[in-house]
Amino acid sequence: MKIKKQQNTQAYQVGSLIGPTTLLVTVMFLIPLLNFLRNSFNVFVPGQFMQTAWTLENYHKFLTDPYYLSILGRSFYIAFSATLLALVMGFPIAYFLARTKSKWKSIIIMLIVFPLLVGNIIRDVGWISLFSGTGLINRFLLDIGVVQEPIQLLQTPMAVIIAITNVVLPYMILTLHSVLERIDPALEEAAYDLGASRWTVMKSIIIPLGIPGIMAGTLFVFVLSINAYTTPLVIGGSKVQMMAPALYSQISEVSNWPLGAAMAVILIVFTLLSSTIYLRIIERMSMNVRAAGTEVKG
Amino acid sequence: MAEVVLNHVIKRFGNSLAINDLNLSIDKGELVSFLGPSGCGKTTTLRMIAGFLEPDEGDILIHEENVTRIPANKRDTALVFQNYALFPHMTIFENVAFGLKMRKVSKEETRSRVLEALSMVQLEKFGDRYPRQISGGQQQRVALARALVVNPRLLLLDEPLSNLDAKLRQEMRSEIRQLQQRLGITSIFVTHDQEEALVLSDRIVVLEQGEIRQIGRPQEVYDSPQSHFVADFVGVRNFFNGHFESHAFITNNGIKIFTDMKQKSDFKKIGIRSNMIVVNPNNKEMYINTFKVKVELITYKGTIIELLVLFPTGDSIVVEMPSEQFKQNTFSKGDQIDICWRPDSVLPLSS
Ligand SMILES: Nc1ncnc2c1ncn2[C@@H]1O[C@H](COP(=O)(O)OP(=O)(O)OP(=O)(O)O)[C@@H](O)[C@H]1O
Ligand SMILES: [Mg+2]
Repeated sequence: MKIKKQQNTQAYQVGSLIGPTTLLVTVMFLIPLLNFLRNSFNVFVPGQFMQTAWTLENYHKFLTDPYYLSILGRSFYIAFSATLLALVMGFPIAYFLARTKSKWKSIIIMLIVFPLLVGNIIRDVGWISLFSGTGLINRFLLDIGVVQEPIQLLQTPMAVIIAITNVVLPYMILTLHSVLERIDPALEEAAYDLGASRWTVMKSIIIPLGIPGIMAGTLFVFVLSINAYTTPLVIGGSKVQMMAPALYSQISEVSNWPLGAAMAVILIVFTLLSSTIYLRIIERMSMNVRAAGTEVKG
Repeated sequence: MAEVVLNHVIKRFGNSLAINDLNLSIDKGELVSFLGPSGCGKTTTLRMIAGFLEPDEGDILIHEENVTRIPANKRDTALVFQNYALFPHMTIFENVAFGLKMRKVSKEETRSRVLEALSMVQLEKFGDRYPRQISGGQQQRVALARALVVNPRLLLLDEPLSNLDAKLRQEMRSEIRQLQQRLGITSIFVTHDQEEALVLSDRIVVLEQGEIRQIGRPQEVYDSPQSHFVADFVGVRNFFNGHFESHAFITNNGIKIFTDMKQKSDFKKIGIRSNMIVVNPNNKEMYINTFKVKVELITYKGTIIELLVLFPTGDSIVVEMPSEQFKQNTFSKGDQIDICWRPDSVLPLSS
């Protein structure tokens, strides 16, 4: 009974972290979503807007064409990598922030949040000036003679992953921070006092108790990443296509509304599906931790 | 042979001096309390001994080894935290087993030692529960078991009972004391509760502003506090400023109080315990310190009655009398009464 309640508390904790975003996304998506859903069963007739119908042709086309499937696969791969990267980079920063007593703390948090105040497009232009053939990195590599001619950095998955990570990192840090901050430092000291090394403290105390934050942060950031639009468009271009820009170009350039709509539906279903599977896996992995909850006494 | 030695230990936080030249030696098997008001440096000292803080100057020796620069996880000490700091995601068993796991003790040995430690604190049936599924008192016991199971050379307790209600606090107090004596484990107990310190300790170290004001057995500290601060802390409530003229003390308002001081002294302050003052005794001629005072306030406190009385000089003091006696000897607010005390009840104090 108690365990059950605890799980609810934890679910609530996770919920309260991703809840507001989810709600916003839901409302903003719900109306277009229904519209899209309907359109996705229509037939595309070049030259015309579209023809009302009930057909699975668009889905069939997407799911059997390796070209389209590779866009979905790449979207997943890039979102997954960006999420992982953001977690690996964000965790130490969030942990440091959660523990520091430095008077600079609020300034550091402002620095972390600051990029969010700068539009994606501006930041992406920044990345271009870094990654392009005549960009800083290539000029540096040419100068020190590591390469003879500029290497391709723009329009590579790597560049897109880095740029997306840069966009989502603040969300990851803030989400992790809010959970790590609530872990009583005395728990770490108690473990340390009993002979644990710094690493063991991290592994057996901080990470298990930080799992709700890790779950919320990664999920949040994954959803943001797989839906990324500006960054793959500007940095990835035609070589590194992701779902959001690809489906939009179906609509805006080819005027193929039905296929664009089907792609949107597929993207949403895919996101929900992978999130659910992910949550199940984490749940399985951390049965203990979930049962124990993350309540911190003191 | 001293088990723990603090040698000229100094700790600063920024510009402020938290611990000023602390010297202390604790014998093997002894339980020493650090007693003092909030902010006097009890926790700071304990954390230096545990290895969480490094002193700026001075040395800390445990079992004749200089551990000053050895980190907490390499020291043979175990700390019991004020809020217990039990790991919420581990069962009671896992909590207690944690220290043994860190010491790479085998599975079977861990099991038997954890069960032994849990039975020591009467919690052998609770191994499978999580910390939030047991009461505060039980959590306290788990914290104790978790510290003791690793057989530390030194047990450190930072106000371990302050989160418990009064009754439980008394129970745990004697439980800790019994356990400590049975195991013969050298212990330091931090508290700001004088009663706790008096009941529990072999010796009490009274701290104020990072300095030791007095060290002694509980009875010594209670019966002969040496300064106003210590006296105040062990419950002395009446103080007079003045000076000694041979064995009598003349207060600044001219009250003459006889003491048992043998030789000339230049103490400028004395203290008198409220419960050492007798009200309207039948044989008041027997007391050389007898004063007529006016009752200002009567407060009922269960077994005792507390009186606030006023000297003609305007000085006021607090007197305690047993409720039983008050019933037979009624007077009310505004009445004149006699109060008396013996010369040896007067505590000469340095300020
Ligand atoms: N990390 C710190 N940074 C700066 N000052 C500190 C720090 N820790 C303690 N102090 C200061 O050192 C002094 C002693 O603190 P300490 O925590 O040892 O007091 P304490 O006797 O344990 O008090 P309490 O009964 O309230 O727990 C206090 O003035 C406190 O403000
Ligand atoms: Mg303290």
